[in-house]
Amino acid sequence: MSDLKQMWIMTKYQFKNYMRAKRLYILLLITSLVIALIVSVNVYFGNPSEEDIKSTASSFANFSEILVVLTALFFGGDAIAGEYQNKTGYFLLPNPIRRYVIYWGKYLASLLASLIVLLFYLISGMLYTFYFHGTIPSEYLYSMLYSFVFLVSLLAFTYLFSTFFKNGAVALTIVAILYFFVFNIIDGVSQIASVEPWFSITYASGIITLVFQGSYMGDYPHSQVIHAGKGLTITAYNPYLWEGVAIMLGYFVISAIIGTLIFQRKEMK
Amino acid sequence: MYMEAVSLTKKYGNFYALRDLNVKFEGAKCIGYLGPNGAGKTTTLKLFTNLLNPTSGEAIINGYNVKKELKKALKDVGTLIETPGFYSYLTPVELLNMLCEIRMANKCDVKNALEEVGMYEWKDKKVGKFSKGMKQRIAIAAALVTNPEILILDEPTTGMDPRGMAEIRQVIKNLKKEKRMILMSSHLLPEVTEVCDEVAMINRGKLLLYESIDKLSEKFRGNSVVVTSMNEIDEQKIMNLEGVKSVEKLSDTKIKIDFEDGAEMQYRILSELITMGIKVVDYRASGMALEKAYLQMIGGETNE
Repeated sequence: MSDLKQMWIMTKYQFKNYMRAKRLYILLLITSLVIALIVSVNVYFGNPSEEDIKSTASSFANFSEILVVLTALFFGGDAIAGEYQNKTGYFLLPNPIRRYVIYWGKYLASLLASLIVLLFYLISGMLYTFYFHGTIPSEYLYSMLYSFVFLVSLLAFTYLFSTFFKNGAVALTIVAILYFFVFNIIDGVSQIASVEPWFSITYASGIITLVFQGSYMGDYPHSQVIHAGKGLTITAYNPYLWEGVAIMLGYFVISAIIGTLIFQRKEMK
Repeated sequence: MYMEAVSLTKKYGNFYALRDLNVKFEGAKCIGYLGPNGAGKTTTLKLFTNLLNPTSGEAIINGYNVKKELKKALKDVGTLIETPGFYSYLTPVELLNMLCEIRMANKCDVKNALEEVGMYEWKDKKVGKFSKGMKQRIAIAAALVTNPEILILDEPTTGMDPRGMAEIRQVIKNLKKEKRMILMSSHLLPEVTEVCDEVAMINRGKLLLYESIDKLSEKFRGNSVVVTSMNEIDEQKIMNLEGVKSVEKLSDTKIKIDFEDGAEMQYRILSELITMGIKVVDYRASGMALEKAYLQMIGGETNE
């Protein structure tokens, strides 16, 4: 019971720090600009009320993947590494509080801050869709749910990397490189090698937008062989919806276990 | 209340930062923990505060192993290790409240802790803007805020100006009166002599000595005194006194006398000087016992 209480205290003060550091407000501002841009472009170059409702809704869902990455980096990148870099660990760690309580207390604060940004964005998308079509497709709600699962897992993955390093900027940069380059390269190579990249979180997160494809949910090909000329074929894979969720949850569980264990043993030298 | 190291060892590769430390600090007192840079002082304190994992052995506080029963072991322990960083967007009051909440402390007095270290007027300013000395004061307040019975202080006066150092020494002396155990590492021998009751010396990861300051003073008491007089001193006359081995003139009114061993002899020489009409205004042992002990045990070496 006292562990839960201490976890809540950690969450409270970590969240307060996000508020004071203006990180939350900065990300909300960036999100507002993106919303304004999406709405302006769609209204100026198209006619949302006459297009397919799923097309209108998916125009917002497309960016939610990137937004999840940004929030995970903003709120998770230096969450653990910063304790070592800024020596705040000397203030926090020599107390009667278990390391996992600190770890998960901070994680919950990061999740809460990220959720505020993500919900602000996705609810804006709902209002936008509702304004032009008078209803919201169920696919949009599923896409929101998948975005949430992606956030939970990517944040845990970012926290794992934050425990590896003693410098917040390094942790943040590595996760950004991993997400924006390494995983994309792995996905691309897998297509050429005709191996399904079931081990890639970016592959799994594709379900956030795939849910809008086809005439019903999940109505899209799992794999497609594409002839690229001169005997070269590549296989484009799409994860099943359940598969995408399973991969993301797998990332969460593995990252959570390893991250907690590392932080438990990590020394303040 | 007690702290005990049982075969406590910390090894980095082939280097022993701490080697087989066996020591028990017990009761309400101040223990000075001395040694050159890299001797293993901070390593010991970090092992007692769960900042490092021992390679082998145990760090025990009030019967609880710090590694295995962290919450019980550190329940009533205030710590200051190095100069900690603080969450720069929080104020001293918020930081100390956070600590009280985390420690789930019954005895929490933020106002008193800040007043003790002279930081109460800064209570609502963000810590990020504070100087190193001010942060050190906040760190000491953080160690005190829950009124713990054991205090582990790693060079508490580091980064402070002379006035600040004197104030913190006074704070520590006051804490001693409140029946607490204070384990304090320091480079400053006069500070340890002034504040502490016992001293432990460590070098190259090994404990060399653990003794009360009184016993140490007795053991390492010097056989020379420096005498300052209001009038000119004739050193030839003093040379003829019984027990005097040599006299060195430092100035017209100041001499250094080497004599044969014993406190009795030191007293008799003073009596003779007064009888001779020398107006003694200062008569003190040349060099501190602790300094002598330190130099004898450790020498002038550093491990950096």
